[in-house]
Amino acid sequence: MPFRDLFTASGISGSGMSAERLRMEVIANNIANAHSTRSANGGPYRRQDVVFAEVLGKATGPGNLPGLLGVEAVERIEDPSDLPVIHSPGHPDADANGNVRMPNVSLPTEMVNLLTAARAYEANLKAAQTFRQMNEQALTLLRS
Amino acid sequence: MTVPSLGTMSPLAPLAPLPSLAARPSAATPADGFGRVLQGLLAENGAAQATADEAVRAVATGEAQDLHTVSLAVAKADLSFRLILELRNRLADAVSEVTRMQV
Repeated sequence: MPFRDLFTASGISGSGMSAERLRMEVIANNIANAHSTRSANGGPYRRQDVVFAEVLGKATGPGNLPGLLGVEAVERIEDPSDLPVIHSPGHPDADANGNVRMPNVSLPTEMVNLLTAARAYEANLKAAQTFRQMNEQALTLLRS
Repeated sequence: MTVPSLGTMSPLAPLAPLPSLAARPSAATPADGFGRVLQGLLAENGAAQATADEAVRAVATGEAQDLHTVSLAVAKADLSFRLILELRNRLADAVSEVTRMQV
């Protein structure tokens, strides 16, 4: 008698928490690199974002619908928006006119995204907690 | 004297064994009872506990990626164990109820 189907919901919540944790990592990286004028691609650092996708399992059960397996991060994309230019002739990465291209990271946006990710993590946590409570309440039925 | 119409009657069919008797399984299989169900449950719980152990070890050795994975694995092992415990308690209650039965 397999137990694995009994706890699918907690696995789904776990995948959501993992995804939000990755998003928080990316946001923290954006904040940390808000003033990096050099990156692996040569130019200044570009703001990054994650792309999430739904995960579906094999079609089973009533209605032959695919099983729900939560979410996964499929991609990490770079923000292609324009890089702000500041005038700083003393900067080692300044061009001939003394202009420096800075990362397109805006701290207020990142802070809002950080809060959103933290709240989404909390929501997943709450779903897992509620699922656990439901199971515990069902177990009390067995007690005489 | 002979009654001609009696000759047309078919003789009685020989007695056949009752089909239900023949189909009944021989002397049952007592080992297939609650014991095996309980053993299956315990094996399943063993797997959940092994996963939880592995997750805790991953935290201790610094290999863990997520804390919530550990918490969820431990919660799963805990819940499945308590489910089995409750089933076992009910089973034990039923057995003691039977042993107390007046004959």
